[in-house]
Amino acid sequence: MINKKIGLLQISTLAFFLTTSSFILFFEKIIRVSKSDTIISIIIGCIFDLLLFKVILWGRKKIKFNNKIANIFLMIVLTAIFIYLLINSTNFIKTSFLASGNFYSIIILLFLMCLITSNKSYKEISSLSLILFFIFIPLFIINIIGSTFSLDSSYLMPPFATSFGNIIMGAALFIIYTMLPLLLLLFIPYNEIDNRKKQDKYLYLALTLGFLVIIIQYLLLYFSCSINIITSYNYPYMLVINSLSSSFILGRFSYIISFYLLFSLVITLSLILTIIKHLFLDMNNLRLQD
Amino acid sequence: MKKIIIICIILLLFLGYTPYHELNDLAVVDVMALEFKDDKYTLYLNVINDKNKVYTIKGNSLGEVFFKAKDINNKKTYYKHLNVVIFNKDILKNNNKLLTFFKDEFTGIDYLTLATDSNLNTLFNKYHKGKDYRSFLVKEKSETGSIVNISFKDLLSSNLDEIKNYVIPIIGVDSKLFSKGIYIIDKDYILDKDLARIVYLLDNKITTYSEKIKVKNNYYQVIIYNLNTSISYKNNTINISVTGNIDSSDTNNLVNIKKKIINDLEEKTNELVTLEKQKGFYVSNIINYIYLKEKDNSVNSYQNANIKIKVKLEEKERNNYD
Repeated sequence: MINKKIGLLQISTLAFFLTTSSFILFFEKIIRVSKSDTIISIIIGCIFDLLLFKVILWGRKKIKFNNKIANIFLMIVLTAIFIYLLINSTNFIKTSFLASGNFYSIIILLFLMCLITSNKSYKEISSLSLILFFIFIPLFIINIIGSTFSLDSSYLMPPFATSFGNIIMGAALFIIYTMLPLLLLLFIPYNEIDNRKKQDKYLYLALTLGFLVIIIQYLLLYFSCSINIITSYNYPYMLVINSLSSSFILGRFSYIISFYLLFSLVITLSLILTIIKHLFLDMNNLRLQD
Repeated sequence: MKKIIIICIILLLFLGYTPYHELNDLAVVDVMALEFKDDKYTLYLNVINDKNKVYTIKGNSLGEVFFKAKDINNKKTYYKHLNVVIFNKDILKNNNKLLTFFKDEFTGIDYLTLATDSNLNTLFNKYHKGKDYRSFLVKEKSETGSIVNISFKDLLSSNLDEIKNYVIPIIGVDSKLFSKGIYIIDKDYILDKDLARIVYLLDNKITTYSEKIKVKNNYYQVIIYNLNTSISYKNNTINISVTGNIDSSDTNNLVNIKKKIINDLEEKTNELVTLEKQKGFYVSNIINYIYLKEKDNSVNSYQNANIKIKVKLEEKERNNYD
């Protein structure tokens, strides 16, 4: 008998990718606000996120999407978010990887890829995220090892160089950018998970791991360039990727290694499409063919 | 479902993303020079795989010059191996958007940057190979300590720095390349070689240099190594402490030589600090230590601060056993 429920590891890797999805695209906005004290903003944001995540876990058990009007509204909002995220992801891919490529062909390819991955149900996306997680780990470790050759401790600045208001604003931005993708977990039915009692614990572990990855990525960035340079680039993490090629034996493959940055974007986009599709089907009382 | 996959594959095939390039179809550039003269931008390129030939391109704007430089001799210009970029002093002074243009045009930020006030045409036609500049920088740094490797990343950081001034190493040419010191771009001022050495020393960017000094009508070749500088700011006093080792070919007169070197270092450091206070430019690392404590009031604090310089050099015989 085929297990139709989502496994614990699968849902937790899905939560992991949702946590880290906004780092590559939107993190420079946080750095622009809190400058050299961004690490303090991140730590404050992580603590509040862990507390707010309890609300999402409670919501997963209690909230049901039965209201037709609410479903239509949610579909419109999710479509708008999907289009915004798709355009931003295409901009990132075009700027960092395919500089001479056509914008519209990249957006069509990305959309078609998300369409294929969202063809089935939540179980297939969470299986995909588990596979991508196992590809993510070695690529991330190679990235860390390669980046350590170009780190410089002279970029370390004393704490509280920026105002307290800016640090709090940075923390608020961090909470928004990490919590918003995690709200998508509300749409995955609580009963579809294999081992219902343990799923809260696994999701908390996934969230903590996601924060750890964000902190490591930020520290690699902080110690490789001065804050002035970081804030003058739209996607500053690519500076860390570019520094791999000059100082590391696997540097020639720096762009292949950096491919892991796209995993969380693809998972988030595919999940949004799957949710829109499920809302549409539930609204019209239709079911997916098995 | 299958139809979607077929559409994807066909799109991929027709988009033409073929990243394979024949080396013969590329003009690989490793050294580049740029100047703005007579209302025209001139770009000099050294193409490695064309027997290190120099190509000169002129245009009315930066965009036009680099657009014309896209194809050289029916080959696509390839900048991924860019090593050194030399700017004319005037183009840096007058052009605020130059660095933004370079930041957008080239993805790498590791190439070295230098400035010159000599005739760029003469300089580039004489020295246009990457190895000329690499060997010059290594030799000059270890011998005189008056130049260090400043990459584009450091130059961009210097431009965006809110406390220190925008600086670049400046070189000249007569029979060979030589370092002229540091060019402070926003003040249009050149710090000479000796002061440049002090700047790099205070920044802990050089740990060794050699010098020919005169003591009692005799010349001695001296090498100072294991240099380490520490700066602190306390009670309105800047304390600069330099420690290192000294060695000379003539070990009999080492005490007098040591005294002369210590005097010279203290004098030059005093001269640099006085110059920074008088002219109002901040090149050395001293202002950063004051800024950490005084924040927005650091300029006034620096003007009113007392300087205490202590140089301690130990005589130590270098290990010459081969």
